[in-house]
Amino acid sequence: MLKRWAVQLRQRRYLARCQGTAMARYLGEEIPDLQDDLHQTKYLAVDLEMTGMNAQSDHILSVGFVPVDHLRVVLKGASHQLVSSDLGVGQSAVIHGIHDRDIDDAGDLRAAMDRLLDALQGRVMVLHCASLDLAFLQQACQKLYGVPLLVPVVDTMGMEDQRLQRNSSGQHGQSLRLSESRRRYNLPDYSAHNALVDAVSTAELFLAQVSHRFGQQPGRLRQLPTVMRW
Amino acid sequence: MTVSVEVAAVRDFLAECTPFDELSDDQLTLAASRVQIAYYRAGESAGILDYANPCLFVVRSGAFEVRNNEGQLLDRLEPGGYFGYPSLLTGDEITNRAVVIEDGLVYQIDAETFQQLRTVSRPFDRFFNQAHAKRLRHAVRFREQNYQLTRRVGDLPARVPVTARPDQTVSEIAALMTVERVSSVMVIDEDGQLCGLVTDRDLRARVVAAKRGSDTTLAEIMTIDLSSISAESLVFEALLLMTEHNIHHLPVTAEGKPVSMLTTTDLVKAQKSDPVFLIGEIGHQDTVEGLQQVARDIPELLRSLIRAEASADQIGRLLTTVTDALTRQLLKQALAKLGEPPVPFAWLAFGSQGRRDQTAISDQDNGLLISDAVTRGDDEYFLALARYVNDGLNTCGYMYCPGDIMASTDDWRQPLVGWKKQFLRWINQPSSKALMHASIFFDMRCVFGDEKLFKQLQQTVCEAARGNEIFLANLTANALKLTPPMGFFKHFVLEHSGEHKNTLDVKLRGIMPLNDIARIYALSMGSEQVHTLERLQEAVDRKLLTLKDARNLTDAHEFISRLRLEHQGEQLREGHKPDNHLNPSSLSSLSRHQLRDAFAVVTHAQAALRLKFTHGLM
Repeated sequence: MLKRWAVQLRQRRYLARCQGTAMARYLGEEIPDLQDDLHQTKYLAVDLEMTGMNAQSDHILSVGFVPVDHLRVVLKGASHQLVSSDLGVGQSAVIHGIHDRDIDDAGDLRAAMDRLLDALQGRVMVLHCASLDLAFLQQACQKLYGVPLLVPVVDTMGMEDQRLQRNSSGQHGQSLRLSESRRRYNLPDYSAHNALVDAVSTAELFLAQVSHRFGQQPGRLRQLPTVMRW
Repeated sequence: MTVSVEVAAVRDFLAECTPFDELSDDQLTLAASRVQIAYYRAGESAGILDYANPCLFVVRSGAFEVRNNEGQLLDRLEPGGYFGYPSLLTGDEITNRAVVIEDGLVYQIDAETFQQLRTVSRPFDRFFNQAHAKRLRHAVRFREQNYQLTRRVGDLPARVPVTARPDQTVSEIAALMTVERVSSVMVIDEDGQLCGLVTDRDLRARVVAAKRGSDTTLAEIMTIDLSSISAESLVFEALLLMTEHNIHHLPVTAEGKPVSMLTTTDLVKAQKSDPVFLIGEIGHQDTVEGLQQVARDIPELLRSLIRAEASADQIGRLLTTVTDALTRQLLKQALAKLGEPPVPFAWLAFGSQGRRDQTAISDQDNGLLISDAVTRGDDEYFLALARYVNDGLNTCGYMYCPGDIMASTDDWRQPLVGWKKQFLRWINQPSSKALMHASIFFDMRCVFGDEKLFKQLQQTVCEAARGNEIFLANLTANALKLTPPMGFFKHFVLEHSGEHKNTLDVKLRGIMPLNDIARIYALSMGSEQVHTLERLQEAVDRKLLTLKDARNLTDAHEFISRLRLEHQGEQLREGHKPDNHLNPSSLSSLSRHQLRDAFAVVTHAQAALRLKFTHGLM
């Protein structure tokens, strides 16, 4: 876990390497600290659709995100961007329903990432199954801006795993998938799936998890399974 | 490029909710894009309505309640329900609070967007104004609703009663009353049973004014023909008893022993409540039309009782009290019209009115018991009397009995000897077919007239039924024909065709079997009780039922009755005719689960009944 001064040091070093980009604007703002009050922290729930599971060979098809302020999902700040690609959608269309014809007029990855970074300023990223999406985001940031993405991340899947393990003192054997996790909190089922709906679903799950774990009690960001990634 | 940012899941949900369904596509997209989503856990209340910026709250999942600052329930909300709008409409400070009953998501729409939608859409504006007006009306109603009403006599603060023995002298008792600062003394016999009452007034009128000496014993002056009430009765019933008989002191007893003394002053607080006003109004009506007018308020009374969370048992008792008052007033009108009766009579109520568990739908079940001194020529009088009351009740919304069990039917307008013969035929020569429709007659109660006449009939019936194995076995065989609608795999067996497809008749398959069980136990003991829960209690007292079984049956009865009342309240609100047909899919999963449990209790009790009363005869 990185201390505040170490984060700031990296922040300045990376900033020098990407002047004039959205990444520089992002790094120019303060990055939330793990000592922050988790009720006051601002979050951005993010979901990606990809052509596959391998960050080296597969690529991002769409980016959906929605802000969470004062533990409320703010739909006004929601965004859903499709990403065009020379590589085509391939087999994955069966899963996410995005076809080549849909992304013909989509923007490129740079436009989508610029937008994501602008929205991410001063926020903690919330992901369900963080490692997979993060691998793609790191890959994109290295490629587009020449620096890694320096951001605190909360993984709702990790939170769920932790909670279930605590409740059953060890192995729980329950599904950690987004939809199954949501049902355990009396959250509604959503039928249509895209990156934005899943980002909203993740945000709602996060609210439910925080509410069940902390209620009105104060808490710090570091009490969540939070990771500082770069 | 950016695809439209609307979140389909949110927009689709709002599109299903009135009045959002009245918005144009653009307006709906605007509303959906302004939503903020919050999650609340059960038990929370802070931070919802007293949120610094007033919002419209739309329940997306879970269950919520809105209560005012006095804690009274104003509204109960399920998905698609709204709260928070009153202060958006009036600009007033928020005083209500929302309580989370079941965890869930709430969509919040800010004040600016809410006002914008009101400006662009008239249906939207109208909907919330009406909803506001409706809730205000309810708030007023709830405020008028006095909680004394649904309380039991035993719940009232009461002092330990001052008691005396019949052989004590009036001077001793006057001294005791002065020391104890009471206006009455209950007189008890050697077994502690209440046998008389002496009040201030008795000392004045029966001792001093009558020039009796100070060594007069209480036995000489006490009032012996006493009205008393059980601690289990509703405060409301006590009030009626006192008003009707013009008495100021009403002893409260448990198993005949004095528990406390209820005075008119104790009850003054309980007077300003809806049902009492309704009864008061009934007492002032000289015409059937007048009564019809008053009876129109009964559905509203039922709804307010349901919303005030009175128990099904309390609601049944209150509704029955109203029916009794209407019946009595009609009889008084008839007597005024027809003149004094040639011989004494008693007006009998059967079925649900007899058991005091009436609901939104009640048809008439009544009869006329006439003194054996009646002569052939008198029947013209009694037929006119019966017709007047039966027609009047029908006008007031109590439908004619489909099976003609009404005093205007010759069979059910009989002298005492005729009624005795009829009951003894059912009891001594039972065939299950003859008994099939007769069971409701065993839930009888005297509503008006000569109580002694009724007691004679009741005694005959109780004595003949007690321990009568053949009769009880036949009754049981009949009762076991109606079973709860549960399949082998614990699923509900629904009606598969007709008007009530995919529903359960909770009365026929749940409440009636429970009433049957209680009735059979009561008759086997020769008990005079007709109220189902009191019958069960007596069965426990006489060790026929275990306390656990009786509690399970009582809970099942309350639960099924409550579901039925809520269903009927819903139908009344929507302007439909209330019925007993419940669609299980309209219930929450919790309620479905509980309903299954309640039915399982009935099945279990039926099996016990079969063992106990059929002895392999059936």
